[in-house]
Amino acid sequence: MSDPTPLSINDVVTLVRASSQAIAGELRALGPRATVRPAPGEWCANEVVGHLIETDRRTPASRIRTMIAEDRPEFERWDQPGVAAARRDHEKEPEALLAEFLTAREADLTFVASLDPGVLGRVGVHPRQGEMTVRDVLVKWVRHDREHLAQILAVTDALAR
Amino acid sequence: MSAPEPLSIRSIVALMHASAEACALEVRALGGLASVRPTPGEWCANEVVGHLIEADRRGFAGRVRAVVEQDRPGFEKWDQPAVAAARHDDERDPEELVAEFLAARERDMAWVETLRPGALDRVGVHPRVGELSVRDILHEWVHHDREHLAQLLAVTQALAWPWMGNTQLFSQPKR
Repeated sequence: MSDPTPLSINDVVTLVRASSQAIAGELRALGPRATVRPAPGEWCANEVVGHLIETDRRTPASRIRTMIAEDRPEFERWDQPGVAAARRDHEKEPEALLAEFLTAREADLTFVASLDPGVLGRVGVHPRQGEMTVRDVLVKWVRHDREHLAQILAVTDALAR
Repeated sequence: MSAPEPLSIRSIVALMHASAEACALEVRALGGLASVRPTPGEWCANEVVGHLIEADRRGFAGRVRAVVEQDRPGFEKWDQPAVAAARHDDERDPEELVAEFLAARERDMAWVETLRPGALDRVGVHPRVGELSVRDILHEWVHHDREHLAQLLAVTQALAWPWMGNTQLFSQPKR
């Protein structure tokens, strides 16, 4: 790949919307298997979606709002395994979980679609990873979604063997 | 998870529709980037879809039909890289390719849905891996789709990677 160009706000919105729908499609096709952990200690598909709900709540849109409202805000870290365990998503109805995920996701995407490209260079500071721009956070969202969609596909794969 | 149950025909069809739709969503969302190879020699998103079209035709739907219609048919191997290269999918319009893929997949799944459970144990013989039942091939189809959907997602991830700044430090670099 030579001379790649940065993803635009519109590209990010389109790609995140595509992965949201793909995640929903896979979870619905799994049906009750969405609550089956492929191995002890590994997340079931429901739990991956729960992680995405919590990540969406704490990181992309929320951090971008802070970066626009404040100068160089400092981000808080969060205990991902602790939050995931407390949610008990393996006991939830997949369709209810998806409704929670898709509703919040759509609200975030509407906010992101309204961003002025001028804000893409605004900065926040993560306690461990350091300085990051709005553009970095948005592009990371695209990648993070694909990381976890691939994780759900691996769960399905484990159930098909 | 202990001793998982085999997937039913209905579950397989639902999963195959889900992965086909996910492939279509990703390629459509990539738009013009669907024909960009992440590195020389690797497939672009369009080429992954082209491979799925050929694999459906030759490796999955084609073989299941042969097993249902014949007694212990022998399967032919096919030259996957050569078939992929001859298709020139990197030069094609993503939407046209997705339409070709979805239409064939829809037809195949409509046919798979009509299979009677008794057909699942019928077998064919692959020249390298030996005996394969209809059940084996259908489960491999679910697996194969997810393998290549993950490949499509990795193409998008590669396109995103250079623009992630310090957020790269949250991920294990794959590229």
